[in-house]
Amino acid sequence: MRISHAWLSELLGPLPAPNEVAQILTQQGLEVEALERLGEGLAGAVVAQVMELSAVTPRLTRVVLHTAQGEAICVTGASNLAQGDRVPYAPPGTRLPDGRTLETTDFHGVASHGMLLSADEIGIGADHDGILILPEDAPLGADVASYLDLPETVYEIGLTPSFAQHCQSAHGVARELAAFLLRPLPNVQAEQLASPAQAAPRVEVEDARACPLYAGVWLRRSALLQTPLWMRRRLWASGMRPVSPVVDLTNYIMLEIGQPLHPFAESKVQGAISVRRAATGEEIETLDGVRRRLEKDDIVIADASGPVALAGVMGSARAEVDAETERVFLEAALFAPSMVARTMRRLGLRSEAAQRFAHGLAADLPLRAISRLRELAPAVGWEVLPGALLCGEVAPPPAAIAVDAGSVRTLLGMPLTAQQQVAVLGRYGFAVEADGDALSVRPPRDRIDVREACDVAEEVLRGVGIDSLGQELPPPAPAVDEPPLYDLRRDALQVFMALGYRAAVSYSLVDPSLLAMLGQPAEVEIANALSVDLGALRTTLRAGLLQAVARNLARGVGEIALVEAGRVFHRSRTGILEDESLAFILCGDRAPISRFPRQPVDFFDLKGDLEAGLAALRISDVTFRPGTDTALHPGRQAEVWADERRLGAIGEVHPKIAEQLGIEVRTLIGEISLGAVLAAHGDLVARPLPRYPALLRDVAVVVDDAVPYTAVRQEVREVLGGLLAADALFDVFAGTPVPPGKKSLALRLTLQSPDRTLTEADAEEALSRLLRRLADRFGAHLR
Amino acid sequence: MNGAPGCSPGERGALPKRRWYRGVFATSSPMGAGSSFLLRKGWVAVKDVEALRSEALAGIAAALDEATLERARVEWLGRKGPLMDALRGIKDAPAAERRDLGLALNRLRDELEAAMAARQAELRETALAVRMQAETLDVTLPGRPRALGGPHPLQLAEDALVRALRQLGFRLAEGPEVESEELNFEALNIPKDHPAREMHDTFFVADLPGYVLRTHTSPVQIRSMRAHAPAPVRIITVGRVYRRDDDVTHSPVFHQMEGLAIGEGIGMQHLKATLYEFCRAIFGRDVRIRLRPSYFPFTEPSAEVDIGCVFCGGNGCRICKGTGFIEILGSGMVHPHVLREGGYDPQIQTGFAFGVGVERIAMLRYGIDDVRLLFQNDLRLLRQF
Repeated sequence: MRISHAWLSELLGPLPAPNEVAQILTQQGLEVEALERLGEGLAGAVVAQVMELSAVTPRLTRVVLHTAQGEAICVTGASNLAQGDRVPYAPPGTRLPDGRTLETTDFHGVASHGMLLSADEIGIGADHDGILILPEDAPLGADVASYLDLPETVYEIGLTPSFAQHCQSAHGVARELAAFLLRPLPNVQAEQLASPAQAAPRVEVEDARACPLYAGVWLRRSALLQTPLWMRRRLWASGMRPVSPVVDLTNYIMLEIGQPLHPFAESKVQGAISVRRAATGEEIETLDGVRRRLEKDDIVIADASGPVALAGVMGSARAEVDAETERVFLEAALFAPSMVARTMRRLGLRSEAAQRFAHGLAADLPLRAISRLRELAPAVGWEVLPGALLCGEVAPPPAAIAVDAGSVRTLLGMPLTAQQQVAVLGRYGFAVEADGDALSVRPPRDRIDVREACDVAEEVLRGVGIDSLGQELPPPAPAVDEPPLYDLRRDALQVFMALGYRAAVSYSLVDPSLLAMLGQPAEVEIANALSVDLGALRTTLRAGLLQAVARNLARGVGEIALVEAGRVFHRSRTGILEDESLAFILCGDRAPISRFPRQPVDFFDLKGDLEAGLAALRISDVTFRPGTDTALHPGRQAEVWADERRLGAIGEVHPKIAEQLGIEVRTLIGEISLGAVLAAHGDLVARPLPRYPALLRDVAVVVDDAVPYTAVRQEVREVLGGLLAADALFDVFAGTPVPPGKKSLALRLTLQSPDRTLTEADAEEALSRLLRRLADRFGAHLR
Repeated sequence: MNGAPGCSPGERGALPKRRWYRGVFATSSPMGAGSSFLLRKGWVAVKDVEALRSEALAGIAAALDEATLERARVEWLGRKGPLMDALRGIKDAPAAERRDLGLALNRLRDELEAAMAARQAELRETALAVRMQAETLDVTLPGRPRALGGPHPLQLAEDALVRALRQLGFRLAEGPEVESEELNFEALNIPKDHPAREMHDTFFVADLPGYVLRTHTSPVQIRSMRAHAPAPVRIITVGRVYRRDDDVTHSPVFHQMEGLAIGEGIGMQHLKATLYEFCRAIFGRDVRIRLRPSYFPFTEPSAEVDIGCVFCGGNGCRICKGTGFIEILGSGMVHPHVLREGGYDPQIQTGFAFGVGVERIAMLRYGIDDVRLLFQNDLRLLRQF
């Protein structure tokens, strides 16, 4: 909300400088987000009087002015001037807040010496459809900036929901400042309403929960006045637009004490008024000219022919006060905050009134507003008629809150006696009775945000100043186990980063059609998604990485290696399963272009990285089996297994999918479940180093093309058993002299025994056993 | 040089002049035809030893590569070389002279071997210099490029946050991202229609009533409390949260980190000390810190923590909107309602909680001004980390 320094100063007396006030408010919890200085820079404008008006063209008027220096002539496009008006006149050489310096300008042969100023040009208000008419007693020749007390400082305050309950008004903000500056709190007494003097209109509240209190008074226009400048300036400074005297008056009282009021043109309301829930489908044209469809949780004020106001949110065009209105019924009510909030949100109608009702108001505030109305109405040329209408009762103040001063001491860690706490609370207008440490606390009526002892503790804290808190590190608490997946996820990312991958972070909300395309359809869809492409929780991290690759390729970045760790979401019979997943993707060359040979990535780059990664994560006995993942190239994909546990899959992205995503480069992708990795995780135990020398044997065997290497390897490991310390495949060869349909596999076998030195004969014997087995199984022979 | 010709008579190891010794020179000797050796009755004159010495040294010096030098070594020092012949002939020399003769020949052998080694070292040195000259590279050529991996800025920020708090004795806890409304809202003192729900534009799960994408990490507080009550708790949690917002400063998916401490006698002085330590760990020892009363439904009293603007040093700039401070985290004393939901008796145990946006920390630390950049995985950005 916005409030001017001048207004606060009027309520509290002279104040410290604006910067200091801003600091005090912020330290009280009213965060001053910005300080504005309205009309800053205006120099040279003076008060002048309109002596004579004559038309230059149908749209331009020549104005003869009387100034302290004599006569001046101006041309203006404004049409709101009358002879005798006092106006702000900016002679040539005047500097305006927007930086312009005025000159003499020619309009259709008439020289305009400077110009007359609107509120907008002066910088104090948004209206620029007319010249700012000054009060009749504005001294002729006075400097406009000093006459208007410019610049006018305005505080822009960010309200938390709790402050929004009691500080959406000048009085609310002033109360907080007063407590700090030890000034008396501003207050308005509630009017004791007598029974209505008039019968019509009759008002009936159908739903007392929706509207616990409905009060109203009748006003009659007594003079045709303009809203006084001081009132308009406060409206402007608070970000509102002056409309008409009676509307401005209601808005002013709302800004002053926080109670929204609504005027109905009496002549436009037909028959009895009822306060009720809207019927579903009922419509209203609100003051902003929009037809709105209502629902049963909206509250309306209705007459015989339908809604005349959307209660607490906005009036209707039908009962709007206009220039002809002479009598007004003015509503001062309480509406259920949650209902107003819902209507406001649903219709996106964040009116000033709705923002106040939505947070709740003090139970007697409508009556205080009426009493203020009586005082101020004459200033705008209106008169409040005797008598008033009241449906419902002002709720009694809530019971006193029991507070233990000792608990407040503990909570704040401050040695505050009960007396000190009572004194601090008194500054905020709290009535406190103390019996030792037992405090009985009655907050002021406006403080509907204070309900419990902890709320009172916060008041004490604000009162003594949050800066007076001490500092002490908390005592230690017993350590608990941490979720093992957290560190595993970190380790896995580290390993892949060491292998040259960049860590990626993608949205976990993705387009369900992308998931479907990847063969892993969405299982958790969002009921109120922001857009289709954020429509579901991901079932696979592939979605985000593929999009990242497409995006990077589109931006001309090749050599892509990305890794991401995060959750994927599946449905189970009982709810949602969240698994931690790790995905990695390679595309383009392994390294940027250089004078060295290019290294385009292929399946075995990705597989090698995964093998290294899993080894680093202490997963042994990893096997790869041909897979059937529809998102991957059917001949270039593998399932990853460890210990009879499926970890995931790797492979080349299916060309059809790559094409649909706009990826024209061969792309390899893999994804494993970190949950499964955790389960397969080995312990870290050092093996003794071998004590006896190893024998190396290179063997090349020729087998059918169709024989998978792992099958051969499995036989090797089985036959050689404990003698095999290591094995490596160092060549795969097909072509002459290997017969067609066959391939040669060259293996380097490291033979070693833990308990003796192997002899040549041992090696020969082992190898011949191996060759016999391979011949048996695969018809293999030595190359 | 040891054993140089013309050393004075009687000097230890010097050859007596004008004596003759028997020796056999290989006929293949280069000293054959034009040599001044006297081959007479198989005897070698000392004068001939001198000649042998100078010729051998000249031969060694003349070798321009290791192969030639090796050939010279075979010629002069080899088993069939003149020196070995002479040595073998010592036994036939007169007994009185054998010792001197042996000494002289052995000294010559030592001398030749040393010369040989020195020449070899010289030749190697030269050869190495030549090779290195030939192998000289243009060292200004770029190196073999390596694909360099690296962390995501969000991860860097998260790690810094977690490290700081683990050092303060907090332990990690986790919770689901799809959370029950009860834990996300009600248990945290945010009943339906509470104004605070407006600050949490919530994603709901289709076909699963009562479940939302958690709007904050705070449900993990309830889960941790319920797991440990009535024992003291000191946990942090970090993870993804979701809100229906999408603009330059709001992302529908973002990360929060949150801390919670519950125990008997926990007060706001503990919160303040923890937050100050935490801010110093993240933003440096000299950071200016300010607490400001604020509002959160799950804490009371609540405080917002601001730090001196890291961009302008507190003088006021666009980022801090001229205030000199920027908001970093929210905190407060756990609301009694939340304590009760967690299984604690607010009369006995109290606690504090605080939360921070990981994106915000990353953006502040690394000067990133659009939160969406953090989720686009644009390698042009990632490669800077």
